[in-house]
Amino acid sequence: MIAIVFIFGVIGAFIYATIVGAGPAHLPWAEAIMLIGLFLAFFGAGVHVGAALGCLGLVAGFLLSERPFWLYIGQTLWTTNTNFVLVSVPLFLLMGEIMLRAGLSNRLYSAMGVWLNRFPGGLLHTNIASCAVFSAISGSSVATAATMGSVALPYFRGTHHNPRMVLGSLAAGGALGNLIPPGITFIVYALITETSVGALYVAAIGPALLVVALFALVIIVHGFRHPAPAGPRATSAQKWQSLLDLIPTLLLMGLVLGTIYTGVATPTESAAFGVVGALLLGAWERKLSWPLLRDSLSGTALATSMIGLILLGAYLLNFVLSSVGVPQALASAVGSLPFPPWVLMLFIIGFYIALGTFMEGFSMIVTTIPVIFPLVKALGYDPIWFGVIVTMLVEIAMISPPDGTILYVLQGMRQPPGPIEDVFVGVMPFLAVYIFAVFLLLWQPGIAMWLV
Amino acid sequence: MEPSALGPLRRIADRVALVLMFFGGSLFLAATLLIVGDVIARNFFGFSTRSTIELSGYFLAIGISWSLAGVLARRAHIRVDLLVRKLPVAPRAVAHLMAFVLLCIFAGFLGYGAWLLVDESLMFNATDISALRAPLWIPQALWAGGLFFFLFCVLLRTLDILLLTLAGRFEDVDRVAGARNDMDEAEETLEAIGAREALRR
Repeated sequence: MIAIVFIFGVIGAFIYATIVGAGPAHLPWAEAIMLIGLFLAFFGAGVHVGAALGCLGLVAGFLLSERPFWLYIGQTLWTTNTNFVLVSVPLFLLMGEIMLRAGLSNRLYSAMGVWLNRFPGGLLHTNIASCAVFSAISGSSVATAATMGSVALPYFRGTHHNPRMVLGSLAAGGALGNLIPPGITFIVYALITETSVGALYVAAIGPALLVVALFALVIIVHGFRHPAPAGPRATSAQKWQSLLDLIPTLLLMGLVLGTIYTGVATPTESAAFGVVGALLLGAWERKLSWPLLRDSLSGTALATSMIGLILLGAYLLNFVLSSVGVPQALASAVGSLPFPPWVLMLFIIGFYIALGTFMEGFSMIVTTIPVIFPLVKALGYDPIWFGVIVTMLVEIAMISPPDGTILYVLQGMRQPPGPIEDVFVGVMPFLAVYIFAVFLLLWQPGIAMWLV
Repeated sequence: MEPSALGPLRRIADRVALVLMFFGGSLFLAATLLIVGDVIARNFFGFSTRSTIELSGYFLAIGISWSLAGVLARRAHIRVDLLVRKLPVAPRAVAHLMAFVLLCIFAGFLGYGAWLLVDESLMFNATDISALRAPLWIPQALWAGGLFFFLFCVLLRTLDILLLTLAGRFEDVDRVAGARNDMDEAEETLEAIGAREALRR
């Protein structure tokens, strides 16, 4: 609902600007409004996202293009589908699938617990920390929340910890999945906007650390306000054992991120090394088997092709829209609006938060970035910085009540059952600091850009 | 098992689609080995295939197109069905049908575009710029084949939904057309790590 109100608000602002003569009048308004209406109708009627984008592209093409645009569809789709940067998507997914099945999540959690359970807030810190480490292997937020949730929830059964904080911290940890490199969102953003994946991964470091630190702060404050008996002190033997348990995961993380950050390998090449590393790790753990490989490959194909259909539709739409010059026209129209850039940026941020309440993050980016991005550039914002902002907004959307998907994933896993309000209330402080981090980044872009 | 008004025909197509999806996934493993092999050869043995970028790109495109039908069989193509789920069953069945008709149109255009592309590459004897000088129609035809099979499966499923709707079997339409949601993704993740019982629905 918020989203629809928002979209109409933006259209209203445009019409107002046109009437007062500030906006350019040469935009094909009737067609534009018809396309937006069709877009809303398609999504409202539950059309598959790929088909909705593709059919919208076809309608736009027949309506606006004077050339036989359908003759170039095959070439456009083939060129974009064989892109070497895009190859990194299935490879990162495959690495995650193998690691997931090699059973490292449980060991990761207990090893982290040994080191963190004596801080105020205790085991709650482990939720955030193990999610953060897992995010560095997996590029999916839902998978991160589900995996770490299934491991962590049994630890809290029968403890004094407030279930709201437990669920809230796990949801917050899950929302790190895409922000902490290597995230799939960054790769797709980079492809659409022709920016560098490596630069995006570098720019994500600062904000990711900031968000993790803010989460830890929330837990520490909670720990001081609700003091609890500290966990058992681990013996040094246990500490050494836990370090040994962490080494394989940290090695793989280091291999993948290290090769990207030092520029030794392109993201695609380090993803390929990550897959080989995950296979070796699986063999080391004696988990490597034919069913594991078969399921991992099928799972990767499923996830990649899900993304693939949406990309096919989006590329078709982008091809038509940019061949008739819509994004450029929109950018110049917005550029001439009588608002300062930061007001428009607030508009854009609000738009994403609203859209995120009902739309799955990946489709949201693919659908909107081609139109929004030229606009952001016209406003004078840095493309890399904006990529980090968008990714954070997508993550925020996933933990926003009442529709955030991660919240329902955790709600479905908790034992004993309770009202969904527990999850909503529990995630609130984390959600608040996440949004605070976005505004901090808006105010001080250097948090992301100092390394780039 | 999913209901069907077409008897075993659609189930056989789905079975084939899932096998094809596995082959699609295997191409990603092939791309991995190719890339890793090439990096090692380049750095330690001083030679390179000089075709890795092109070949792994072909593997990606073909892997995606071969898996599209399998994703359909698993009902995993993403839809925003927030409003649809709130409708009563009969109008919901009509909404499902409409969504699938649009998917048919889209898949039809994909197939058509791919067909034109292969045709053109054959006509001009086009080759790629890699060291292999591979004729482009070969990977393109494999890619197009996946798109054709996807179109076939979409048409089959749409026909099935149409027949079920006409027969008034609205609940069954829901089970054939309804989208897999995030709970299902979470469930699959948990199944993968062997913690299936952790998820209570």
